[in-house]
Amino acid sequence: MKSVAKLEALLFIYGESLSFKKITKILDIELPEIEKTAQELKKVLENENKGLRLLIDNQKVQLVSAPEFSDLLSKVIREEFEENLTPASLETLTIVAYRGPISRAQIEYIRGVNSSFILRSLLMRGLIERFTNPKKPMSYLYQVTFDFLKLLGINKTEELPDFKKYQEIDKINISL
Amino acid sequence: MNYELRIKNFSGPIEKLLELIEGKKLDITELSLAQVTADFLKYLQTIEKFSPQLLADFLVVAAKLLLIKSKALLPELKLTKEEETEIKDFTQRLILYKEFKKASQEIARLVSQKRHLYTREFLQNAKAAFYPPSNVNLIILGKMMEKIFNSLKDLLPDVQKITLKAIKLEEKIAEILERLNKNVKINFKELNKQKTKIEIIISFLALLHILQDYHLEVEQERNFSDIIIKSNFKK
Repeated sequence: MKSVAKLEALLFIYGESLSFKKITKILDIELPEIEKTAQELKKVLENENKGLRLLIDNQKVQLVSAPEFSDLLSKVIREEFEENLTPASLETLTIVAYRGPISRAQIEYIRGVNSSFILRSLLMRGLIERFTNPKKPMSYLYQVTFDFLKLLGINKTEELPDFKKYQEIDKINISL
Repeated sequence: MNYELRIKNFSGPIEKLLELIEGKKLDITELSLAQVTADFLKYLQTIEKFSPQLLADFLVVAAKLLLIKSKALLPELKLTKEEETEIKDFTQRLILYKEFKKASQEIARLVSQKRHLYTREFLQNAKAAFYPPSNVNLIILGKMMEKIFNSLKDLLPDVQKITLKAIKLEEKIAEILERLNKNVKINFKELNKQKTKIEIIISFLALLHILQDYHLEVEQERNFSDIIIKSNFKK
């Protein structure tokens, strides 16, 4: 299909992630069609064992290299994933990944400890992002970014181990 | 050492509690919480010494543990409904934390596999150029410029305008001579009324120069008193 090729070309030259909304404007294709096209491109890349993969998450897409070539490519790419994560930042990142979008209060409820410094450093490293809580204008919600997915080598947060289990794990009502 | 670095050396209260329970190979129940209370309070004292900032978080947990312990020791102790739910809620939280701790080890494993996905730079082959959006007009550009200017202004330290006037000795000499041409007598204080210190010094130097070249009468009663200059020029 022609729109699959169009999308592939666009994502190739753009490099960074693009939202479905922006793509509809550039390619002049309706939103549901874009979503279908993205899924199709993703399948094509995987089924034909191409060197590229498509990340689709949170209404955004990005063309990336296949995880099995990470070793090979690290020879020519600057060390963008080098810095180590401390247990505390790993723990916070995990909570954001499985439960995002999530507020700081909710994170601290689970961790039982003030997490503002760790959230800030994760924001600075680009592994999480925050946006204003639509229900509570004075507070933020945190979620993981494409850079997080790229670090782990997964296509979307749903691919995290036992994602469903951790989504449903608590019957506790954490008030926002 | 900053706060962040300092607290990195310590586990959070929930993490510590879990450590204690697992250390004794217990399940997360009210009873096991009561069993580790003493150890937790002991750890609290280390926290107090090394990280007072973390203490508040630990005290909240310690208070809950003491309540649970009291309940275990005094079965006849009547707890309010609120306290009962609080205890139940707390055990739940601990279980929840334990699950996420486990998950974070999974995440760590994924990261260490180094199956990173690489991407191209944003518009890698595009030439750097100014691509204004189509709706840009002069008014928008002006407003944006003003916004940038204002935010930059906040970054700058307050600046006071100081003008340094250059005074030439020759000019000063000419000025004094001209005055002497008009007036038979001038006094130094009058000459330098409302002048800066530098200008007064230049005036004095000028006067010394004039004294070298012209025949003038100069009077000064004592140190730092006014200087009277009388000209002998014939009018």
